[in-house]
Amino acid sequence: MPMWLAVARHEFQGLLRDHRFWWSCGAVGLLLLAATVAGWQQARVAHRERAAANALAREHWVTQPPKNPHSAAHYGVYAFKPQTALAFVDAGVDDYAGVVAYLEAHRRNDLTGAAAQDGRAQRWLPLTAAGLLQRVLPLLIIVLAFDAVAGERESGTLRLAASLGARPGALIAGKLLGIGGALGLALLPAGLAGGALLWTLDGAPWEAGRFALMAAGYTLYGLMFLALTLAASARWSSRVALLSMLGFWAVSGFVVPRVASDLAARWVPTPSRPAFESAVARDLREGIDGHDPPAERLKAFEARLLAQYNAKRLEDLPINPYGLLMQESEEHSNRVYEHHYGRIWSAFERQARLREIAAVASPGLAIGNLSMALAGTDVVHHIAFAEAAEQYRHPFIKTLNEDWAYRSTLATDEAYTADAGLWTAMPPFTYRPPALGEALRRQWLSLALFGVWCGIACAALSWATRRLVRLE
Amino acid sequence: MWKVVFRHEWRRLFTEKSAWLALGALLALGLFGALNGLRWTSFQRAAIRDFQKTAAERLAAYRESVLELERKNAPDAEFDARRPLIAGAFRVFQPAALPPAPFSAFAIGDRDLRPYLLRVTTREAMPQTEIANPLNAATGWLDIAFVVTFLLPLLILALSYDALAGEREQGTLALALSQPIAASALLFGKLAARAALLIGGVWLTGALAFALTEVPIPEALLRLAAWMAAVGAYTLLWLAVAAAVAAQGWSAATSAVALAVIWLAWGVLAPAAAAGIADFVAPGPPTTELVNAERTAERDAEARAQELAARYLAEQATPTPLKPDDFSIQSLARRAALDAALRPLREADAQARRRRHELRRQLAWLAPTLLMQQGLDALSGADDDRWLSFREQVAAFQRAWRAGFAERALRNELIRSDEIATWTPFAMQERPLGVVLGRLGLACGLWLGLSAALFGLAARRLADGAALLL
Repeated sequence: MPMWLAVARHEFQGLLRDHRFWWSCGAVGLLLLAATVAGWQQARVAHRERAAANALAREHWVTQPPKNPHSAAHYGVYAFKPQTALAFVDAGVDDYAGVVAYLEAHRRNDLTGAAAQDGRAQRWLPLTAAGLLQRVLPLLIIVLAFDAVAGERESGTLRLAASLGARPGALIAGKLLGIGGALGLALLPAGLAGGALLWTLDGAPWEAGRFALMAAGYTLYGLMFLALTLAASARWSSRVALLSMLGFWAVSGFVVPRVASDLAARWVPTPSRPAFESAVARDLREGIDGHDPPAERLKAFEARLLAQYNAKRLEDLPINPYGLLMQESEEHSNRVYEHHYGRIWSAFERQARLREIAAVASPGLAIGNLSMALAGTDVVHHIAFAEAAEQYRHPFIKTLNEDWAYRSTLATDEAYTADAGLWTAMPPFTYRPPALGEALRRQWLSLALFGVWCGIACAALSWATRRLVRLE
Repeated sequence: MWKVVFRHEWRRLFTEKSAWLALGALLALGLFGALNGLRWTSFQRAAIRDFQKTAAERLAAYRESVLELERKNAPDAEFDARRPLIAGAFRVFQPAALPPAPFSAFAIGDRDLRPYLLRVTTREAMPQTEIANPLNAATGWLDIAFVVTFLLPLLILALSYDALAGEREQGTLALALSQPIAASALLFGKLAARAALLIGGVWLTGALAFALTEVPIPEALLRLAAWMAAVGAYTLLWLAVAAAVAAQGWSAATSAVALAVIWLAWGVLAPAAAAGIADFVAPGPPTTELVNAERTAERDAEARAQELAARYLAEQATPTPLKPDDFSIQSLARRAALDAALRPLREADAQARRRRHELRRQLAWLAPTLLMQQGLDALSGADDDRWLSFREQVAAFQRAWRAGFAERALRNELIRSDEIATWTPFAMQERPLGVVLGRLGLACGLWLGLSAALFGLAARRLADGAALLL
């Protein structure tokens, strides 16, 4: 049997016989299992509620009584953000971003219904599988591995092992494999439960690949922390190794993310709500208000219309000018909202980019960003839903305004109503989240930095191993 | 004897790099937190100013249009701007704002999540949610409260984990105990030096932050004094935890592991679990249900508009010159029907919110970090109690606002330009500071009691088994 395998087996069996291992792994494993099951239950309920709400919103739309199409545009429709299946593993920003888009004429509304606005979220530690894997798993690894090499050196067994022919490389590789294997075994039930529970959710086949990537990512993350801890253990005394790794864990896990967010918000500020609303209102005034147009702009619009239809009076037009006036107003407000929301999204993306860069000091940030992207719960997915809803709103309102414009005239305006024929002809809102490739492409920096961290861990381990050779 | 140890340890700490590092980190992070708090408070004040300015401009424009109608002596019409319902629902709004409290730079709390501006009309009190990156919102701020609540215990544990074990591993513990000194006096003397260093460091940070961010009015100074007292009690609690672990006679590494696990479990997981339990016990109606229930009620009101208007008029004691199909009457009847239909769901939502809050308050007594966070948030006016009180006051204001307009709408008493300036704006009624100080005082009492118990246990353990340490 190769030496590294013998060491791995020895380490593995030693840990399995250790009560502390079972206590600590049992506690973390149970927490993980509980978070997974509770998250799955919540995700299942939320998924069902939102699907039912979307169906009811559609029913409300198609069963509305006959009315003027523009009144129907004001009546509007609700779009509920679908819950991705993997949100039960990583809820990401879901509790902090709205879930309901109210789509109506003239106005782009923000998503509403964020749980955090109503005191239904906490920022201490996300009690999801991802939150525990990112913050608690590293502590477990540090506790189990900080004295794996240093302890042997301090007790003299390292020299004994070396005298029996154990090479440092084989020793370190064996410990990495043994501790990693034991940890994997202890946490496997939670992983298997996650996979099994995922299969019971809608959209599971679509999510299976993402789940596999997530599992691989967290395995690598765990191995990276283990490698760093073993490197520290090989290099320093058990006490220094422990303290340095605990410091690294606390700072990178709890301090760096907040500092990164604070600096991002400071360097790329977003306007306050009143400032944003004022800026939008100012730009809207530059265009035409369909309900209350300034006289000169209304005259210009009417003159254009009369010229287009070669008519002398509005009453002679074969169409209803009010419908076109409303659409003209709509086109302008669409451009204004696109401009202002474009700036907000750009600021959000730049803030997210700065946070990605901060992963230089925190591997937890890198895996956290990747995990949210894989679960479909990051800011990119939030913006994608908000934009999808807005892209649905434009043709939705246009169809209603044009129905009014082209199916009535000034003479028939008062009496004209559209009915269920029009309501049902309008397609329901559907949303497809960004594909996996797109989601990962947007996270290339996190992916690269996660790779760098894995490289650093390997290099540190290799360097510590070489140093161990010299010490002998 | 412990005083001798204290003096020796005090001098020794100043020669150690780790103590300087801890103090430097505390000061740097504390001041960074203070600047964050100041930034958010300034942002909030500017937002409130902008909001009030928009409302004032709108009110001024409305007054101009009423003046114009009065000048023209224009006859009343269904959609006349002077009609109370038209004014109250569409033309003007009252800006309700939750202003930053004195000492607000010391804790941002959940102020960035909770709506602090509400647009009050006769229809509703509409929250003006802040435009915040959800990623930043999910992460939270590094404010002074975070530094004190989370990071201070870590620094305490990092400086204290080897208080006895370090001496034993260096072989100096036996030497020290050969002198006429009890092991407990040795431990407490060493911890007292750390307490003085850390409490002094945090107080210095607090004083500098206060000088940077606050106006020294008496109320703010009183809050600073309470903050310092709370920080002192909280520091003692974590030092007592370190003492209890040190008295077990474990190695320095094992002690560090135990303290890290205690910090994680008691300081991080317990508060998170408390919030999770509160959300589980009182989830309240889901957003989807609230939204669709409102829409269902609106459809029903639309379908039964005539019937609702007739019923509404029959229920009113005030005689009205308006016809049932008048827009004002239709609006009042529709709003009354919507309120009646949605009341059970809205009350369930409000009760669940209140229940969640109560549960978090109760469970906080089990988790010192949560209790500390709540206490510091309350001192800075960033707590849930104040926010809930604000929401309730705004709701009451909106009801009164609507009732006044509805009464006039029924009588069709038109708005006059000379009365607009006399409309009473919303003003937040603050709770007495004593309420906040009372709860914080109880928390400090609990921590001091717990600290005394833990120090007592450590002393007894050391007295019983001092020899085991050698």
